[in-house]
Amino acid sequence: MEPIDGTTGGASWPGLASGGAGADFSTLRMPRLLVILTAAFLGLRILLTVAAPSEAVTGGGAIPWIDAREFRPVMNRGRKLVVYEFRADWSEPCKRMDETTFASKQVVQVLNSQFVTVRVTDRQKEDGKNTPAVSDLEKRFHVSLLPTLVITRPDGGEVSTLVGSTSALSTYHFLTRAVRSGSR
Amino acid sequence: MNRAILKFTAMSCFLDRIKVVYVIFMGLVIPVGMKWETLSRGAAESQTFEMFTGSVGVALVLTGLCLGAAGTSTSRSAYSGECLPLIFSRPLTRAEYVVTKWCAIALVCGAITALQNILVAFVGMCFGEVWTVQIIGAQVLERLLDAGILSAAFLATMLARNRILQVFAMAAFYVWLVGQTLPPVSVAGPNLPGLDGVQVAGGQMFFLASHRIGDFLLPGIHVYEAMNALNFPWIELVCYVSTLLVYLFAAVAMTTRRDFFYGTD
Repeated sequence: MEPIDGTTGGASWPGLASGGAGADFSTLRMPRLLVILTAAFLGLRILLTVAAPSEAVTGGGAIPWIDAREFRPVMNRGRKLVVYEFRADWSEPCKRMDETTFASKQVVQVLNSQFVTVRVTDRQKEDGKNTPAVSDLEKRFHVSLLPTLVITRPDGGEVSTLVGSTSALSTYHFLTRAVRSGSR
Repeated sequence: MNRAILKFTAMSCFLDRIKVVYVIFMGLVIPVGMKWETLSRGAAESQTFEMFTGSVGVALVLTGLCLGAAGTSTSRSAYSGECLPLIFSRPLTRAEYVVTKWCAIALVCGAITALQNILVAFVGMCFGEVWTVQIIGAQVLERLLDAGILSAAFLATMLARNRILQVFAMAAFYVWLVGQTLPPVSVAGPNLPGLDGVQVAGGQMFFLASHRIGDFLLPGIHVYEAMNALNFPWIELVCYVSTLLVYLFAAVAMTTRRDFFYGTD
């Protein structure tokens, strides 16, 4: 029997093709592909979450951060700009920035080629006080929020500041702008 | 995919003039103006600016413009408010109905926020920022993906008949939204006493809750970060796809004939 909507074999609307209104066709049927894909991806998600290492892979290792307590201006032999990253181990925004922004190839490349990277870790919450080097830097650059990136010229003159955890793209634009204004 | 539903859903997003004005301001004027103002004053990027051009910006456009479009398959007049059902010449499956609605809403919302990101890039270029085709493409794709997951979540919430589920979903959405609008910073130094301390702790709690909800219920793919990541974030991709499929599956499962065959059940 020819289907009334002109299709052959009634593959798309079997109910109409067989003449029995809705005999083997339901508008409420669940598409098999959606069911299979949902189950497969959910299974994969659970598997990956269970199998993933507890420590997130960060870009920290790709950037040669110098501890603020060990940094001396004489170490900047290449006369590069200096970027200070003020952070704390307990701070969630700092962790987020470490996992995403500092794991970006472009950010890592700009930092490694154009900057001396100094990490200033605030430990006042853990130890009750900071080391003199960290306290001096926080006072000098008026840092009260973490994370904060401060860029200075080799002579110590401040170029610009970025407060808060920002995306890789914003950080990349911030660094490249600082390179341009620092070289003037 | 049903072309008639696609067309009428997309058109219905623009029927209300007040909503269109709201979206033009929230989606285009404010973010582009902020970018212009920021760069013309020589200031650094701010988190408020990032918020408007990211997934929160997509949510604001979605709530303003497309939310009403998730309803029934009717054609509505902008002036009289009359609703006429769309009559189809063949039976329509609920999966077809849901997927078409989702595509229409995600495309409208994604297109507006993608346009916003392109304008922001253009402003950046005027001030000497480096914006390559790759970066702009990544931003556009990211906004489309944000629109995809948010509109799927909204659609599933609106089609659910369970009030408790709807209240839970809306509460989770607002906690996510509040947390995303907080500046992503921690206060250095010792714990503050009194009301200031409570305020800081409350902010941190919302920030954490928002990001946990975001990771679990509204995961996004940071396309630019993924393209430049030292290790490709496969987990991020799987989380996104699985959550999207769950929302679509739930929306299809919760749709009754009454939703898509007007007046029949």
